Amino acid sequence: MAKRTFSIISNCILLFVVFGPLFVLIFHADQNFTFTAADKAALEFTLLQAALSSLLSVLLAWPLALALSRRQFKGRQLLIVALSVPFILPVIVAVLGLLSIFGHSGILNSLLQFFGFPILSVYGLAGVLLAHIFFNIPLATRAFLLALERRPTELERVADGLNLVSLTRFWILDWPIIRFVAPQIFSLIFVLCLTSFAVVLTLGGGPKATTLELAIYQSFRFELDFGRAAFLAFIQLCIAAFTCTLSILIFGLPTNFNSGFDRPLRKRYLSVWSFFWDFGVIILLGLFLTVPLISVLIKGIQNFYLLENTIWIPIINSIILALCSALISTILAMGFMNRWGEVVGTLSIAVSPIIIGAGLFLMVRNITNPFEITFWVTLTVNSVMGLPFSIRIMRPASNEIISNFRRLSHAHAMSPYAWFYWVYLPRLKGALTYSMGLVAALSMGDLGVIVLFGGADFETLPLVIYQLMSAYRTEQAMASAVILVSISIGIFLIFDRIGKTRNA
Amino acid sequence: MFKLTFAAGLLSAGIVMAQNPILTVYAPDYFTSEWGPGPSIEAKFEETCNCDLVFSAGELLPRLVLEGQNTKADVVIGLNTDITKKARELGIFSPHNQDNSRLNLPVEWEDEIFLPFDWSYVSFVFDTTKTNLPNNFEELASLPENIKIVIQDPRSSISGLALVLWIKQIYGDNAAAYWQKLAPKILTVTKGWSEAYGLFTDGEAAGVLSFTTSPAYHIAVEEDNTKQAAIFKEGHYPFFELAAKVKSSENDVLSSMFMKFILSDEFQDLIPMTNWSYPSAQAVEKWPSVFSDLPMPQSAVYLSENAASEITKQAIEEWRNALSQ
Repeated sequence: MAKRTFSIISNCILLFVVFGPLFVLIFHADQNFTFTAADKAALEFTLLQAALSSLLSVLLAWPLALALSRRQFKGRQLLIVALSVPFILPVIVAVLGLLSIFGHSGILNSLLQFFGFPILSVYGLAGVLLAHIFFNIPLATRAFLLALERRPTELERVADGLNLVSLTRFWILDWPIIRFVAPQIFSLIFVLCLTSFAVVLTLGGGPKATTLELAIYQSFRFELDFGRAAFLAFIQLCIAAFTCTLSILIFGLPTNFNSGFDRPLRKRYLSVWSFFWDFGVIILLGLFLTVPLISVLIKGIQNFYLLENTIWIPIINSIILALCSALISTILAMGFMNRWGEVVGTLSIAVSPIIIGAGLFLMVRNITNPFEITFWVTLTVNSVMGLPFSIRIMRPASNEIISNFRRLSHAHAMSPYAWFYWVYLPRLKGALTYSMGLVAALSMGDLGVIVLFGGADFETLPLVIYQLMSAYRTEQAMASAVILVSISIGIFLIFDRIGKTRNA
Repeated sequence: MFKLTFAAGLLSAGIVMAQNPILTVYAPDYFTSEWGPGPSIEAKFEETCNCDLVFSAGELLPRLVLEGQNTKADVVIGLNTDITKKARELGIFSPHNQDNSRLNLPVEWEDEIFLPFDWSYVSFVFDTTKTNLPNNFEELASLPENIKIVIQDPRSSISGLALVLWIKQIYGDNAAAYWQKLAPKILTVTKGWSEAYGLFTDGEAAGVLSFTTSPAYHIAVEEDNTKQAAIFKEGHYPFFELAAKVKSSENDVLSSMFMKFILSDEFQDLIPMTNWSYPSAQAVEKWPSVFSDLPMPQSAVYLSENAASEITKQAIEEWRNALSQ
C-alpha cells in the first residue's frame, strides 16, 4: 500500500515538473501548429541520427562489456571509471577533446598528412555519430556490465561442463541479458540523441545536420513564438514516448535466470582466439574513449595557473546541487520500479530544459517569481533529469530482490516497513549508491535551465565554464572543465566505495 | 549595554539598507560574469546613485515576455539591433530620453527607445600564421583549400544572423550563389559564438566569424598579435548592443539616471577592455590605443530593423539551402 502511494506521488511530481510546463505553454501562448519544410528536414535528420547513434552505441558496447566482464587486467577498474567521464564533460569541452583527435587539425589528420594521405573530414553524419557514440558507449557498457556481473556464475560452469559451442552458449547465456538490457539502453540513448543540438550542429558541419531542438530554441529565443516552441517540443515528446514504449514494452523481456550462490568463477575456459578478440576490443574502444579525454586533461592542467580564487563558490554550489539532485532523483526513482515507470521516467529528458523552465514559470508565477529561486528550480529540473538513469540502474536489482526474497519474508510475516528496511534497502545498496554517484556526476556537468533562469546570484561550475568561453578565455575554461571532471569522478568514487562496504 | 548597541547597530544597518532603492538590470550572462563589464559598472554606478544596482542574468526577451507587466526589470541591457523590431512590438519599453547626437557610431542613430552602449563590426578573424588576410568576400571564398573557417548558425546565434544579412545586403539576388561558392570553405557551423571561437583558438580552424575588435583581447591580454580581423572593401555589418528602459518600472528616476550614466565617460571607459568592443559615445582619441590602432573598415553596411526583418527569412532560407547541398 505504502509502495503504491509512493509510486503515485512520484508520478505526480514528474507530471507536474515535466508535462505540466509543456501543456501550460502550448495553451498559454498563441497556438502556432505550423510545420515547415525545414522542420520536416530537421525531423528526418533527427530520427536518422538518433536511431543510428543509439544502435551503434549498443552494438559496440556489448563486445566491450563482455570483454571487460571476462578479463582481468591491471587498470581495469580505472578504465571502467574513466568510462563515465565523457558523459559528465560540458558539451563544448568534450567536442574540443574529440576534435583534437579526429578534427581537421587533429592528431589523426596530422598523421595522415605526414604519410602523404589526404585529410579526412569528420564533419557530417559521421561526426555526429562519432560524438554520440563517444558520449553513450560508456553508458551502455556499464549497463551491460552490471547485468553480466549479476548473472549467476553457475550458468557459466554448467555451460563449460556441457562444452557448449559458442552460438548455443550465446543464445542461452548472453541473449537473455541483451534482450533485457539493450532495449532499455537503446531507448535512453535514443532520447538523449533526440534532444542533442549543439553537438549535432558543430560536428554535423552545417544546416543539413539540424535537429528539431534547434527549431525549438529558435522559436523560443528569437521568434518569441512560445506556442510553436511548445508544439515542436510536444512532437519530440511523442517520438520519445513511441520509441520507449516500443522498445521497453514490446521488445524488452526480463531475464529468467534463477539466482545462484554468488560463488566466484575460478577458471574460465576461453579460446585463444577470444583472448585476442577481447583485448582487441578493449584496446580499440578504450583508446577511442580515453584519448580525447587525455587531450582535454593535458590542455586543462597546463592552464591551471590561470584559475582564480573566485572559482570556489561555483564549485561548492555545484557540489551541493549535485548531491541534492542525486538524493532526490534516487528516492523518486523508487516510485518507478516497473516497465511503465521506466517509459514514463524516460520522457523527462525528452522535453528541453528551456521549455520546462518557461512552462514552470507560467505555472508558478502567481505564487512566486521562479527567477528568484534559481537554486530550487535548477534542483527540481536536475533531479527529474536524473530519473531515467536512476530507474535503469535500480530496477533490475530491485526486481531481483523482490523475486528472491518476497516469499521468504512473507513466510516470516515481516511488516512492509521491516521488509523495506531489513531486506530491500541493504540489498539495493550497490545499485542505490551507483545511481546516486551517476546522477550527482551528471548534475555536476549540467548547464540546464540555469542559462535561462540566470546566474547572478547562483553560479554553477558549468555556467562559469560557459561564461569563460564567451569571454575569450578558452584556456581557463578548459582548466575549469578538468576541475569539474575531477570533482565529479571524486563524488562518483566515494559513492562507489560506500556501495561496496558491507553492513555490520 | 553592549548587546543593546549591537542590536541598535543592526537595526540602523537594516534601515540604511532599506532606504537604498534597488535598480534591477536584466543582462546576458557574459555581461554580468566576473570577466564581463557588469561588476565594474555596478561599482561605478553605485558610487553616485545612492542605490543598489542588481544585475539579473539570463535570457532577455523570452524572460520579459514571460513576465509581462509583472517584470522586476527597470532597465534591460544587452539587446541587439537584429531583434529590436520584436522587442519594440512588445510595447514594454519607454523612450531613453538621451541626446542621440552624443553617440559616435558609424551610422546616424535616431532610435528613441534603444540606446547603444557599445558596438563593433562583424568580421572574420584569422590566425595570420596560417593564412594571409582576404580583402573581400571573393578572396575569402578562394582561400587555399586547407584554410577553413567556422561560422555561427543564423537561427541560433545573433552574429550568425548578422553574417547572413551582411552577405544578403551585398550580394542581393546572388547571395545564394555566393553561399554555394563559400560552402567548401566552411568547416562547420556552430550554435553560438563561443563554440565557434573555441574551435578557432583551439587551432581547429584558421578563421572564425567574430568581430573586428576581437584581436584586441589577444593583443591586450595575451600579447598575441597573430590573430587579426580581415577588413573587406565591401564594407562591414555593424553590430550594436543596446539598453532600454522598461515602461512598468517604478524607479523611473533611477533608470533615467542609469541611461544617462551609459553615455558618460565613466561607463564608456569600462567597455573596451571588459566587453572587447568599441564604446558608443566616445571620440576615437579617448579609446585605449589597442582599440584605436585596430584597422577600421571604410564603410558600414547597415540595415534598418524593418529592412532587416523583411529579408531575414529569405536570407536564412538561402543560406540553409546552399549549405545543405
